[in-house]
Parts: sequence; structure tokens; C-alpha cells
Amino acid sequence: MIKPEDFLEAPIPGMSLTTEPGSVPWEQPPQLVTLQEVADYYINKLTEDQEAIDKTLDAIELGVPLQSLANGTILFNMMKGIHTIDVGFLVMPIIVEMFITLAELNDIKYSITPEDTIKGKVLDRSLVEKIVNSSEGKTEEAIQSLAPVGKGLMSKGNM
Amino acid sequence: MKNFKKYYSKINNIVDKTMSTPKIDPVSKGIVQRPAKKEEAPVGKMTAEQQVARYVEIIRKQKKELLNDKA
Repeated sequence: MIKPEDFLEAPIPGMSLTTEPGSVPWEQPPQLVTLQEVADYYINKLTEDQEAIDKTLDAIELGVPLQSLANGTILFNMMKGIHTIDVGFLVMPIIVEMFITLAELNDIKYSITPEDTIKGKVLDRSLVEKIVNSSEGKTEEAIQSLAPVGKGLMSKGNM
Repeated sequence: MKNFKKYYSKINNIVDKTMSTPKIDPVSKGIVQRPAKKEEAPVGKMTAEQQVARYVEIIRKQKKELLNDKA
């Protein structure tokens, strides 16, 4: 609820319509229209663009559900004006299938929906090892830095 | 996006059906029997779900081949 003193800062009704129509990409006609065009776009992107593949594999390795990943990809491209949201939703199983293929070819565990992630919430052994290895030296340093310098109640630090 | 699970399972069912049951030509029998040609509608006449299922089927086949090559 808007406080009485803040009401002057609230948006004026119809304020969102004051920008020029077509000034944002998603207000323009989409670049790709048919299901085939959009499907081919994503398949090409996920087979040829190495940067996109690497980023996808990193996200899958971190445990991001494939559905959420596909959802984000679709929204991002929709905002760029490449396709509409409805064609994006239709194409979603194709994108998820591409993600599954990438994960299985690279021996990475994955979950399709967020519910699957919650059900099988078990940390991957290799991931745990990676975390432990990266933090090994740091813990000793931290303990040493926290340890008191003096030895008794009456001891003083070096002047 | 709530309906994704439903939609995905529907596509999965279509793909599983087409991938698991090889149709047999009713005319030829015994050793000479061969899989019948698929009676697929042209891409233009397919529904969106059928088109998506076809793509998923192709991706799965390619994945199988790649995994077999890897092994």
C-alpha cells in the first residue's frame, strides 16, 4: 500500500503507454515466425555456438533444472525480439531435449523440473571434492588469523 | 510454464509410440517382411505437437548414435 507521503512518487495511470510504440524489441514483429524456424535457430545455437554450449553445461553442472534453463533462454530471446512467447513455449521440449543430449554426452547429472531437483537433492561427489579442494588452504589461514597473538591475560602485543 | 510437465509428457508419449513400434508391412510375411513405410503427413499439415515430437525423435536418434560411437 502506498503511504500518504509517497503518493507523489507513484506511477501515473497510463504512464507505461507514454513511451514510443515499437521502441523495445518485443514490440516489433518477431524475426522468426514459424515453429520450424525457431526450432532450427535453437538447434543451430546449441550445436555450433561453443560459448553457448559451455555456459549451458556450466549451468547444468551447478544443478539448474533444465526446465528453468529453457524458460530463461526463451524469455531472453523473446525480449531480443527473435520470436514470440507462444512459439517459444511450443519449442520448449526441443530445447530441453537438446540440453539432455548435451548433458548425457558430457556425463553430467541433470534434473528436468525443479521438483525433481528437490526430490533428489544429493550433492554430486565430484562437486563436493571440488569445493573441499578449493577451500583446503583457506581454512588453515583463517584459523591462524583468528588465533590470539598473546599467551596470557597480562600479555601485551608487540609495541 | 505450469503446464510444461503435461505438455512434455504428451510429446514424450508421441515420441515413444513412434520409436518403439516398428510397423510391419501387412502384405509381406516371414523372412521377407519389412517395415512398412511411415504414413506421415507433410510438415505443413502436421499439428504443432507432431512437429515438435518429430524434432525430439530426431534429436533422440542422433543422441543414441553419438552415445554408441562414444562407447
